[in-house]
Amino acid sequence: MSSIFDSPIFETVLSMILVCAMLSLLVSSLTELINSYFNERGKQLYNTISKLFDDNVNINFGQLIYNHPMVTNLRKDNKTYPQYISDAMFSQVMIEVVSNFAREYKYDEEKKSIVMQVAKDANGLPVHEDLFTRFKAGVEKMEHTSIKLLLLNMADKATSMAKGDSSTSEIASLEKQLKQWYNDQMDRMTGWYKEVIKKKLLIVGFIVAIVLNVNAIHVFQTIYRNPQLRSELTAISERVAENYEKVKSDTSLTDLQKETKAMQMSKIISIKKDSTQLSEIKDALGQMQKLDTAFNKIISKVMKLDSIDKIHDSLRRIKLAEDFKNTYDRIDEIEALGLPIGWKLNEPPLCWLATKDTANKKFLHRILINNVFINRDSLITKLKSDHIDKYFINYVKPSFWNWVFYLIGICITAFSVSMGAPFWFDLLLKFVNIRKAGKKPLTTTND
Amino acid sequence: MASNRFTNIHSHIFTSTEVPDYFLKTIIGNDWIARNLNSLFQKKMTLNAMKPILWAMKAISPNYRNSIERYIEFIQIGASSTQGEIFDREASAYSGIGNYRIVVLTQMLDYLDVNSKSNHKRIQTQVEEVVQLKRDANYQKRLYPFLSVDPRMTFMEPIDWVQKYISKDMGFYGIKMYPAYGFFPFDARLDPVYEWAEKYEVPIMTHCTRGGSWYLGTFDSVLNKGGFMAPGLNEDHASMTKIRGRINSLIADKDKHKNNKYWCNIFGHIENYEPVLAKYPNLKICFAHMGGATEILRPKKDKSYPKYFDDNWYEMILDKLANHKNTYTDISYTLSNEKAMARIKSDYVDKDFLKYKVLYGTDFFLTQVEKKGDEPNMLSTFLQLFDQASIQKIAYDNNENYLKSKIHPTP
Repeated sequence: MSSIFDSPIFETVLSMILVCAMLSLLVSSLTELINSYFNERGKQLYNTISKLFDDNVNINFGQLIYNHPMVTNLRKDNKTYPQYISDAMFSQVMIEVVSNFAREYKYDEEKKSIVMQVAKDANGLPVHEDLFTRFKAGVEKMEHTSIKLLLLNMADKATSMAKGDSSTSEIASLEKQLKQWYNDQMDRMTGWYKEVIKKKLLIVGFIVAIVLNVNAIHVFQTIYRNPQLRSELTAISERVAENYEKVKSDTSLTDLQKETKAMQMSKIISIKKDSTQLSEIKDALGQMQKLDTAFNKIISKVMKLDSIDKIHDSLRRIKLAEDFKNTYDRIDEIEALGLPIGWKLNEPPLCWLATKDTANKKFLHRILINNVFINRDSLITKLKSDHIDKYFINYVKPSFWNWVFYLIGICITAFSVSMGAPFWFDLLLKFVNIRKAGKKPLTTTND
Repeated sequence: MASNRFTNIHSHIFTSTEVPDYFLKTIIGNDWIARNLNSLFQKKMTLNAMKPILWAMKAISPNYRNSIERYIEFIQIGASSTQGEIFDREASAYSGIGNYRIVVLTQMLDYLDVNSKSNHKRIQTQVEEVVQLKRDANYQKRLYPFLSVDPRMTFMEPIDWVQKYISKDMGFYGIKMYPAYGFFPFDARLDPVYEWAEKYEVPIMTHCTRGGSWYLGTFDSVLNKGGFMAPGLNEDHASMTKIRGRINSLIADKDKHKNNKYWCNIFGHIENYEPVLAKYPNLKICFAHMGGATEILRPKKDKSYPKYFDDNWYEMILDKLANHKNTYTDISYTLSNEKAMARIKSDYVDKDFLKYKVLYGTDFFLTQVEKKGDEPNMLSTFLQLFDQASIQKIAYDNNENYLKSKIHPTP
């Protein structure tokens, strides 16, 4: 007797989770591609650091650190912000920027230029001012705001800590506090960044649902009513879940990399037969992949140069090329599933726009099947004669409810895929494990 | 004494990080599209991707193609990482000219829309960057900064602000004003600034065209509902009746009431300086751009503007120059318009007083969007248009006289 875990409904749900997982991976790859192109992480980091010092009154030291040579060297080009600034670099650069603000400059009548003033003792010899003292002087020079108080208190704490612990200098204590403050803010930034990404995933989710024409309701119905497709998808689901379980614990990989690797290991493209449903979209991405090739050529040249800056730049290009390739591969895999997705003249919603007027040869007025124009009624007759499920015959007919369900289906797809690939892959793994655990073990006659 | 330093009296080096995110609303009405186009055009790859399109456009619409290219170039310059980088780009055009200096005007863009939020660098940080450039040996002898002032500034009193930076030690030489960003030049909050500037002969540069960029917020946010206006510094002066009348006419003109462009004409109107100059007759002030090419070329009577502000700004500026001793004007931006420059040259020859009042400036890099608006072309247009004696006056002597103050007696 078959258990509930072998039932068509369970297998359909499992297959739907696989479809959502694959689509959400595509959406994540696309979002990553967009973020790489627009240097979103770098911008978010810049905005976060800017906000740390934004009191509307004082000079924004957070923005000024981007002019510091140490940070400037991290820029890939003059239009890109660094994606990452370590806490050590932040604290060091910040102390220098504030300290420099304390320096005094005077116009020298003899030299006819502005020159830096050096403190001198009674004998006219230069007095060494340590960095910590100058940092405090820089903070004291600021207008009175909460940011000034914050920095002043950090400096005071550093003094107290150094007094209590002779092995720690004031500047080291100050650096420690600045690092702590920065890291706390970076944690918050990660939260903000996730919020931004969520919104983007939803927008990209809608774009993918529309461009690929993925009506979740129709996909569900098709899988449910097609036992062969269902069993194939169930088998793929198990394979993907198995591979995902293998890579899930690998801490060296990001979430997106884990899911991508699981898909690569599952070799879906070689299992399933070719389909041309998404060929046009693939072609478009193929054009983009040419850029990927161009990137790789540049990378190979750039990597030969012994320059950290150039290597950073090439790494960014590798990342962008990788994102292109990932997106392309995800489309390939979705295509290989043989699902009722993509835009075709003999499928909804385009076939709903066809008229009964066979004399009218205008585009979209009749349906093209196997390079022969037939009208919609002929299609329905053909489907009936082929003993196709009544659902599919009704689905081809234009009706108010078909349109409503189509739009709902697109929305469901967009919202589902915007939940992110990790959610769907974890769910897939759980469902496959439940199925495995729930299945009655096979018994042999010898037993 | 004749000056030996060629001077560009009007240029900008602020980067896109100093500009509010919503700034492109000036050109593109939709805020969201403006912000995203801005990000898109800052990418080198976008420009590369657009090359085939631009190439195709060469055959279909060469003029349109050129303007797109210039616009992208403008965005790319603005997207430079530092103000120093933009200055270097401008300065490279003058490498063959010998001893030169460039006046860079800082721009207070923080109040472009008092109700919109933006994470741009505020004026304090923009100015600090220029202070650091001025101290840098690479720039010190060539870079002459002006300090932007707006009566709406809240972080410091305008007078404290100018006194802090316009000094030998800090290296700022003059004051920059841009009334079209949402204030009147006769605003009483500027009174101490004018008094101080007159006393120390500190030069003021003020934007004087009907176009350019302007305040982007709603006018209720500037003038309050019902048209309440901040008091003027010389309310009893006769010109104030006409000025207030003009403002009230626009408030009552429902067709144009919500059009920022018209409001900015009201803010920057030349007559608004009348009460200021009446109170401070020795104020050293430069009416930039000579009113703009459209005003210079506008026929005596046309229907571009309603009657209550159908004055010709070019003629009004000439009138100011003829009647006020320390007034100046510059040819910045207008230099990119051949026809306008032909008229200016003709007037320059005819009117004696202009020989001591016209200053050379380019308005780099805002002219990048104009045909032949890049700095080498602007410079070459100027050098070809005027004879040697005029060049000596316009680009050397007049500029030096204008820059000279009690704070910087030998600029």
